Amino acid sequence: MPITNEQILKDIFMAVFELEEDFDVTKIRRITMPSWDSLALTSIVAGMESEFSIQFDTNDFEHMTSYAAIQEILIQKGL
Amino acid sequence: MKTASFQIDVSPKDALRFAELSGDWNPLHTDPGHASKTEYKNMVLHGAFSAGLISRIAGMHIPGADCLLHNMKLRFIAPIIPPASLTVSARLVSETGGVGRVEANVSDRDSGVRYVQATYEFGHHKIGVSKESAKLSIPSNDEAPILVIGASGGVGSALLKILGNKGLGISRGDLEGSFTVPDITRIGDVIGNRPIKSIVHCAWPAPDNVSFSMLDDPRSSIKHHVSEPLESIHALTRHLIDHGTENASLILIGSTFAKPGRHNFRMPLYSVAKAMLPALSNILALELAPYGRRCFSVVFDVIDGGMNAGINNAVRLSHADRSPSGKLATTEEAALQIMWLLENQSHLISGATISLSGGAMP
Repeated sequence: MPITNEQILKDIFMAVFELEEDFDVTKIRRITMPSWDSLALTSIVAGMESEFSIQFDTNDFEHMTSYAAIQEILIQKGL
Repeated sequence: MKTASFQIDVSPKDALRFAELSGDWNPLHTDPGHASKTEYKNMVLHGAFSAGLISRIAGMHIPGADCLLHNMKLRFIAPIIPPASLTVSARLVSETGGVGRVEANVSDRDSGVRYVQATYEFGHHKIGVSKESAKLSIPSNDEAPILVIGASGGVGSALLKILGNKGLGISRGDLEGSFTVPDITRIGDVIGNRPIKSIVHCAWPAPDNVSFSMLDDPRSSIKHHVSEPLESIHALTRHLIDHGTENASLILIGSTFAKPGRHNFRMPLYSVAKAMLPALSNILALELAPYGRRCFSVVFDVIDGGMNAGINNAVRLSHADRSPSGKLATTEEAALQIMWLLENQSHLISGATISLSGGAMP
């Protein structure tokens, strides 16, 4: 994934979870992030659809379980 | 990034050959008289013929011999009217986590007019897997062996490797070093009356992927996924009663779909089959106890390898994310846990369904 896209994804995570700059967003997983609820996921998806001009289907949502998993989905979409 | 291309001439005869293969005799593709009355004036090549050309470039060029095609998307831009000379070209756009993404085109060789725009994703199938499994050995000592049903791959194969000459592999197909038993209900005919220390049953059919209400042939599907495995377990229970040593166990290996409230709506029959395990363990524990035998189930969450070897990286990551450790179990790890349970000689374990999911969330 190009660094610019990776930075955009990191920025989306930082904004949605209101994180400090030194927080390692690449380690975020739904299971260990108490504030990762349905609203947070909706915000992440909306952010990505807006920033990357792409659309996700329901099958993608099911696998959006961490920063790494979402990054992998974006890579598979050619980003 | 890697590129590839080939050229091919297609004729009206090719359209007829494709109709013979596919059964698609739509007159636009096969009847010049009908085609002449349409806006195309001539027979149009089947759109799916182009899918075959994309398949060729995937299977022969990018990635080639070890191609495992995940999906293919085609956009038909213009009709191909044979005879035509075509160029099929492809470009690898990305490859990460074992999944490659390719953009491909089918164009006119001379004019460059694009007929079909395609994308496909691929993984890699493993080569030499059967050779790896062929290292399994038939016990040479006098000790009663542990039967491993479903020894040809996944957890069964890993378990048999660890057991070495204490294990005896049973496989439905040919597997060097194991007994071939196409029909488990006839197991006694093949392995004879030798005493058996325990039986580990890992031989479940690969998951289904059709909605239960949409099954084309429900009798056959239910037989394959539910009835036949149940019949096999019945036969193994009888075999253990007749030939098991004192305290021998029937160990049923399954998935966490066996747990109450767990299922996967995408694989309904697989879920139903696994859901039988807790009840079956209790029933067989009761029925086997008078013979001094035991039965219990061991269920794992998604295991990396075996029937899951082909899942794509995003799906693998999402399964790992459900686990507190962030890791999936390997087939070897699962096999070592079964070894640990094989050492347990307590009567207390009988009837249990032991979940070794690492605390994975549903």
